[in-house]
Amino acid sequence: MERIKVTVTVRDAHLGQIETVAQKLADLGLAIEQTLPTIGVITGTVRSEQVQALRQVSEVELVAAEQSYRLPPPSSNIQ
Amino acid sequence: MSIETTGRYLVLLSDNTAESENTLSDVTGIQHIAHAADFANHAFSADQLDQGNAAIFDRLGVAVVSLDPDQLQSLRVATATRRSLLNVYPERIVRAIDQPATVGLPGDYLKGYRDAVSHLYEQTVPQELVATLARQHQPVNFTDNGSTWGLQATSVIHSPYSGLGIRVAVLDTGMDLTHPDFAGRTLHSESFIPGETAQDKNGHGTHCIGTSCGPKDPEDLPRYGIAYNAEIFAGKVLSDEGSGSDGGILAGIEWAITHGCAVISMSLGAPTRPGDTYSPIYEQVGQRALQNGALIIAAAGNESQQDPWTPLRKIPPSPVAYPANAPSLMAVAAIDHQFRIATFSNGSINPQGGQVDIAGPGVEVYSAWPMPSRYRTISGTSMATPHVAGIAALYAEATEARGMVLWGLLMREAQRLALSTTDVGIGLVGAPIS
Repeated sequence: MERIKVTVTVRDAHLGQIETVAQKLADLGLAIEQTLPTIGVITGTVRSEQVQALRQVSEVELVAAEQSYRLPPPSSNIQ
Repeated sequence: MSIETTGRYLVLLSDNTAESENTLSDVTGIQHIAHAADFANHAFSADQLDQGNAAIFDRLGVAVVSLDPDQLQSLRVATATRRSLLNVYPERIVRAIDQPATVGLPGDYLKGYRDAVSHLYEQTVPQELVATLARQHQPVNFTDNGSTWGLQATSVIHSPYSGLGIRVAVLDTGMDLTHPDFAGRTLHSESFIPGETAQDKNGHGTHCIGTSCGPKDPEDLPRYGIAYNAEIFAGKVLSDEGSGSDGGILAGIEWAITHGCAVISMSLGAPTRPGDTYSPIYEQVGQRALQNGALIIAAAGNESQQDPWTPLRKIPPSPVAYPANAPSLMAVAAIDHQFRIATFSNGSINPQGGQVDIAGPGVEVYSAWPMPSRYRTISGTSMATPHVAGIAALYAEATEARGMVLWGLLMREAQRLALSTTDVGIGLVGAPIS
């Protein structure tokens, strides 16, 4: 099964309970990498078919696939 | 056009309204002073203004008074000699454009009133007028070899501020922690890239930190750094190879906010296509950052192309990159030293936050580079972004503004350009010079 990296945000009303939310997500199969309480973000990996289940947790606002970034090579004149 | 006046006068009060009111009474002998705050919706009607001898608009710090010539003379003397009364100006009759003189609705009256107050305000701050006149729409010749063109174009070299007491985070490839230009500076670093330290082996991060926070007096001129007394937070969220992902960037933002950074500079992004929407994740994070007093400033991106037949940018440009396209992140475009849009700079193509907010110097930008090179000149919206970030730190120091208020100051003070707002947003970022 393919695992994808996801970013989850917690609703404003539940920012104070981010650890509890993280535990709920872990129970649904999210392998948690980071819990960031100030910005209300949880990151981790999950099997792709479990993403929908994460979205249905009531304290969760958003779930999105992680985006990657790449700078031009250091030798480039435009950065 | 002749100027008609009402016979009443507007008096600009000091911030200490109570003291001003006492002075106004003393000088004019007027005893009955009405306050807008005592009326419903803080509004006088035109009749009420006519009845009383004096009325104070508390929130504006302005009094409207009927004066005879002797009282006017005493008041003029008082404005010149006493701090509590700043200026006096005849109340003007102002009409809606193309409206006949007989129309006298309260709305017109209040609009005219607002214009008159604005005029009065402008009269009392000549330094601001001087600064406005000095900032022409056209570039000057940047002949000062003591500083980069970008620091001259943005008036940084005339700013008395240095970012003292302000924490600035630059989320990038880290920092050359051994760079001699930063010896003795307060520098915090953290790597969010597994297996790599914050030491910058790419160069991009060192260049961006150089622009935003480099020294005032480098050993070799020109000066290239803006907030030379700011506390630097170098977060490595892009590897030495130049790659990274949301997890590291978001961890960097959390780290910066937790450490009280007022400004977070992110010269990074991923291309978007026409029709793409912004990331709701970054929008929420941007809003939470602002609520916590941190302003995230991000590069608009370099995907646009030069027209093959001219030195100009091909039309249309590419859309603002992700995550700068989130409404609550400030998106920065790049201009050159002739105040032309950089051929690579992305533009406002997508709705809902996909617009450029402001522009910075981003073509042929000289700044720090890891040793032994020490310096390098490169171009990009990545280079324009730390100009805005460094200047944001100057405003944060000068005004103690944070979050959306700081955003508003950057917008208010930006130099308007004879370029499309879809390319440069409000205009060229400008430093606080008084």
